[in-house]
Amino acid sequence: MDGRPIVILLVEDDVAHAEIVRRNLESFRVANALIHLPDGQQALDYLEASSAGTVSRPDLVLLDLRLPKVDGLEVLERLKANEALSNIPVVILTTSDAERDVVAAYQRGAVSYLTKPVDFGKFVELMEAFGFYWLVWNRFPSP
Amino acid sequence: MEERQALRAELEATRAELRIARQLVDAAPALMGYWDRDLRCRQANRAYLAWLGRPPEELLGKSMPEVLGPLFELNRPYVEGVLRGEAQQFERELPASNEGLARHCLAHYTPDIVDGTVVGFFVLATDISARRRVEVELSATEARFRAIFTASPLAITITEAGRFVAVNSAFEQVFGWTEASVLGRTASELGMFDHPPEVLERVARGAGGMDPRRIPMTVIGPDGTRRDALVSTAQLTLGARVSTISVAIDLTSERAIERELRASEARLRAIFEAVHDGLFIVDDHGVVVDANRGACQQLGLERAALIGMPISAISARPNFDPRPALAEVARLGFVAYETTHRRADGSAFPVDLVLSSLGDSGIVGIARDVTERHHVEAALRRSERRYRVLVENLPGMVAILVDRDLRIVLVDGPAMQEGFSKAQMEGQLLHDAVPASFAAAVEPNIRAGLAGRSFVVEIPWAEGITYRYEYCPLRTEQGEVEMVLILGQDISERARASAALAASELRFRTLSEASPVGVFYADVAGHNTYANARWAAITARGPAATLGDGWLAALEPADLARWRTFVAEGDELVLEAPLRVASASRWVKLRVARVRDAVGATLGLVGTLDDLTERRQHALDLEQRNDELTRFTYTVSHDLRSPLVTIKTFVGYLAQDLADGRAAKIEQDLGFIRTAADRMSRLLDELLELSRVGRKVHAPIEVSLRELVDEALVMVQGQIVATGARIDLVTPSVIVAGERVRLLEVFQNLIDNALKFVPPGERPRVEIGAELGGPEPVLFVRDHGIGIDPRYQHKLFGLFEKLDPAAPGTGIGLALVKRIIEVHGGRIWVDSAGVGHGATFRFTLPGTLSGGPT
Repeated sequence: MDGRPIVILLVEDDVAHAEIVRRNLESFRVANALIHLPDGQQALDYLEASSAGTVSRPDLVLLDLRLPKVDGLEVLERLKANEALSNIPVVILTTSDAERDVVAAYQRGAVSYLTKPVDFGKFVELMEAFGFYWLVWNRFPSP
Repeated sequence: MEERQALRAELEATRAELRIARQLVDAAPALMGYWDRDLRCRQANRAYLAWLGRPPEELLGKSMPEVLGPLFELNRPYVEGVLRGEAQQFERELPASNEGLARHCLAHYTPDIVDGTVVGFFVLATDISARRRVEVELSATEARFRAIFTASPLAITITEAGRFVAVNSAFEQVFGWTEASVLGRTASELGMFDHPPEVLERVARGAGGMDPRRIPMTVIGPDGTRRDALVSTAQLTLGARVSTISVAIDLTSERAIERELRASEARLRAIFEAVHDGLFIVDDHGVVVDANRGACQQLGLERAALIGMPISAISARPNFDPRPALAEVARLGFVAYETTHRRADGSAFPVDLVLSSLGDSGIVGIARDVTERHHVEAALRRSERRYRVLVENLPGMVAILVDRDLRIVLVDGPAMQEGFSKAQMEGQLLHDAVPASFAAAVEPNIRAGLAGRSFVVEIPWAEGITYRYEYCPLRTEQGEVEMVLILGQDISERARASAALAASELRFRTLSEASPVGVFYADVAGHNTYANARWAAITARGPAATLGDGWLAALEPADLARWRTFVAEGDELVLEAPLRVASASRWVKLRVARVRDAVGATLGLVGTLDDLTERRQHALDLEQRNDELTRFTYTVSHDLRSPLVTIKTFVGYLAQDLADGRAAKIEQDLGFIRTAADRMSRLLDELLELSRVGRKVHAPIEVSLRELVDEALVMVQGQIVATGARIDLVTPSVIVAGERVRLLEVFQNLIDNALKFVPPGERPRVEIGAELGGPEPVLFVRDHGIGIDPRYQHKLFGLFEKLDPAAPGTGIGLALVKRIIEVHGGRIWVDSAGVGHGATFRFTLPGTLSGGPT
């Protein structure tokens, strides 16, 4: 905890789901920034801009797989292909629990794969654990 | 008293006499006995012991049969005779007794007659064995002498006091005098000799035993013929008689034989010398004792050198042992064999050698130099062998030579027809050798051959048997046709095979032509020599263009390289490859194999060509369907789960916010919940709709494009009015076929999209029509809206795909359109030059035609 704000990029086309993530992470009193983008193309554009230094470089990407225009796996692939961004951990957060998506995500360099639970308590619990792990305990490399 | 004494004295004297008589009888070397009428022995002397092995005391009172045993039966006739009162005399052989040899005896039976009655008989048997033996010996000697005298080839005479007492048959034959004409007469009386008396004296005197000196005399026959003879005489004195035995050897015949022999020898010698063959006379040890000039010439030796030479030295065979041959000559009289002789200069030459026995004179050998014959034979054999090999190695062939007289000179070969033989046919005239009908049939051919023509005819001989006859005239050195050679060959098998082959070839060709697979043959260089119709169709080459290797241009370069490698050295090539043909690209499977003969040489290449284009398209389609289905399932599960997650989570927040009394939050929670629920409801409706379009319920109908478009425009009338859009049907005169309701959905969705994605404030312009110039009619809906980024075009028709998350709708519209088009057998795609350039949705619908109401 060096006090530097942790920038999280949330790529999620469902505004309701984005709201859920936002509400859960709000409870962590850490200085972090949550950037929400609704499709894959916008995410790629943001990441491109961040590697050029024009926008904040995210410390963590929280990525849905099913996205308009460019889907999540492609976003992941292109992020990992960019040397300036490839060390950013990407956590998949999606409604799909298909095995092939899990396998494809890890193959492309995702560090974690989380399925959105169809249960309020469990979703909240998941986000709590996610917050503790990534925002309290986890250490990110310096940019 | 005196009288008594005298009587006693007389008695004594008598006894004494009797005793003496008895002793005399016992001592006599003869068997003496007395047997009574009942054949009982009354008296027997000691000789019985010696002769019969039994003492006389033992015999008294015994019966004669008992004493004589088996002999009695032999003597019985004489016993019966003596008992009748007749004296008997006979000879009898007595078997050997214990005392010695068998003896020959002379027996006398004398009857004892008292008062006219035979009361018994005396037996007296004397041993005459010695006399008998002498008699037998004399008899044998005399017989031998008589036989010699009679059978002798020498003329023999016996004279006593100069008078002939006997002459033998040889004398009769040689000199002509018969025994009867000379007996009792002298040679002088007969005029047998005209020699001086002293000569006759010498002859008559003899010399006491055979005089070894022979006296040449001339004997004059009764007819006056004179014969030279050598006479030797001997005198024999028998008691008072003096006999002269003369032996005459007739020189006349001897000399004639000698003359004859000399002449014969001279002739033989002349022959011996005259013959070219080498003649040898060898002795029993195989040493040459004589040889003729021929032999000397053959061997290059002087006669003197040759004589005394062992025949093993003549033979060119190494370690030649003549003994077996000589033994064979001794056994059989002669032997003949082929061997090799050596000349004095060391060179060898082949000979036929005959050795024949000359009896005591040795063995004559006749050696014929067969060098020349060998040359000729060898040439003949070579020629014959060539001919034999030729004839015998032509399977199923028969060779016939016929001369100008139509005579069959020769028949040979392994394929003689049954019922004909070489022996029967050779030398026969054609008409005698074969059945008349056949002769008549072939005679013109033979005559044509004799006229100098060479030709071939095939003649069905019998059911299933066909002969092929090749006629070749044989010419003399002068060029005249001398004979015709006819080579006949049974080609039945070949004819059958050929017919079978033709049938097989036809079957194959039919099969090949009817085959749904392309079939082709190529030569070693890979140039097609045959290709079936299917092959021509697949490669899009006309039937005329199937040959050669022009088709290879349709292969991709990499595949062509593989083909060339295969042609050069491969055994098999299997290739799935694209084939560029006139209209389009086909996907084919090419399978080619090298065909080799028994020794591995390439006969050609045989290949098949299978058009996989449709199969491959189906496979691709199927794959795509499968992908779609997977994506659909995935999408449905994801897209339906999303609102569910929203609803469940915000219901949770709602409960918390209600409890905390946070009114603003409550409103927000409810908003999320409502939106998610609506979305879910709509998704379910659209999924239902999508599943419905996948099933054809109504039969396709033909409907005009105008009618469909008009109806669709009514359905989007509100949006047209709201946006002020302008919509043109640019190609009105088109008929489409399909399920009317679904086709309406297609146009409605496409027009709806076209009106939706326009830059804000801009008036939408839409053109609807058909492009009828290409291979198939293509319908289109073109807008001048925002256009589509090429990067996302592939996602455009996906279920629940929305390029713009903010745009209204669930993203099912184009998925639905695609599904309808595909269910109708058509395709849909989008052409857009990119963002800002509008988009044209194009699709095909089978059954689309130009025409109909405008």
